[in-house]
Amino acid sequence: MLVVAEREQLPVAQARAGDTAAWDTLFHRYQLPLYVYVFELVHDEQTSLDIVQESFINAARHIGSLREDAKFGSWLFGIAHQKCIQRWRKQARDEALREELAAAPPDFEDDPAEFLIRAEQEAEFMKLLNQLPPAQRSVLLLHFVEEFSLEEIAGITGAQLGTVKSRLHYAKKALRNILET
Amino acid sequence: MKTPRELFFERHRTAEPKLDTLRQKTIAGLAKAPAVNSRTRPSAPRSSWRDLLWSLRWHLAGLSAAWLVVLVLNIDHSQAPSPVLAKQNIPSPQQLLTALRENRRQVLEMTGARAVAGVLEARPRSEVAAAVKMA
Repeated sequence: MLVVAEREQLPVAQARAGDTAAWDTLFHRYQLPLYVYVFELVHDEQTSLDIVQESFINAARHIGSLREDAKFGSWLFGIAHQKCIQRWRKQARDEALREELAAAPPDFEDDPAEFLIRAEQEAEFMKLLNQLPPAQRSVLLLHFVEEFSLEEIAGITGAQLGTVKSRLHYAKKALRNILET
Repeated sequence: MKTPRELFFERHRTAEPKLDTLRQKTIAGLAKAPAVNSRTRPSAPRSSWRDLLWSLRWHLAGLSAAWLVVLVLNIDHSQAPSPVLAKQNIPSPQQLLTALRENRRQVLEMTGARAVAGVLEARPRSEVAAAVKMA
């Protein structure tokens, strides 16, 4: 089982007090997951690095707006998510992000480990992931990379809980089809 | 077999040196500007005040400049002697005459020329004429 941010003892309080070593620890903890998330959404290395850095700077600048220290991870991902959306808007490519699935959210198993990918499936997995609409891809990445809960994903993406459930369900279903073949 | 997380991390592991550099740069920036890490939470009203002040920055700068000009002018004004004060510093002719007489008397006392002093002393014309008659 993965250890996620909310269960870790992260020095958020120290960072809040201006301790740069604490910030270094926090940034080190999240730099790769955040980069993975951003890169898989924007598909450009330099843009991803820029967004990660801007997210770190914004986090340091607005740490006062974080209500619960335990939510630092989802809060940081929320900042990065907003920056991705800003980039999309700049590029006038937000149509796909706005798509809403009308179907009622079905129940599903909330276990990222249910997907185990064989070496020969990796390329196919990544290809399919990139074919998903950005909104579904975003939900799936947050689920896979940091094991955020549905509520947290809803908070990060600014979507309704039902919408998040629905997006995750359909994204997983599409992936499962690939992995079962 | 890998989990999606493991797969993602493996794919992007090569970006870690760049991320390390980026993190160090960000931390260096934070160290230079420690005020950024304020413990106090910026409330919405404070934020709106900041926005308001920021939007009025040129007006405030103009007003500050105007006040500075007024201050400078006031300082120059106070440094110049006022005409009234200048007038007060000039002694009257009577004071000058008195000072002159006193000065002359002291000189004569010091030189011991008492006899000459009587001649030299300025007297009213009537006294001078009486003295000449008596002589």
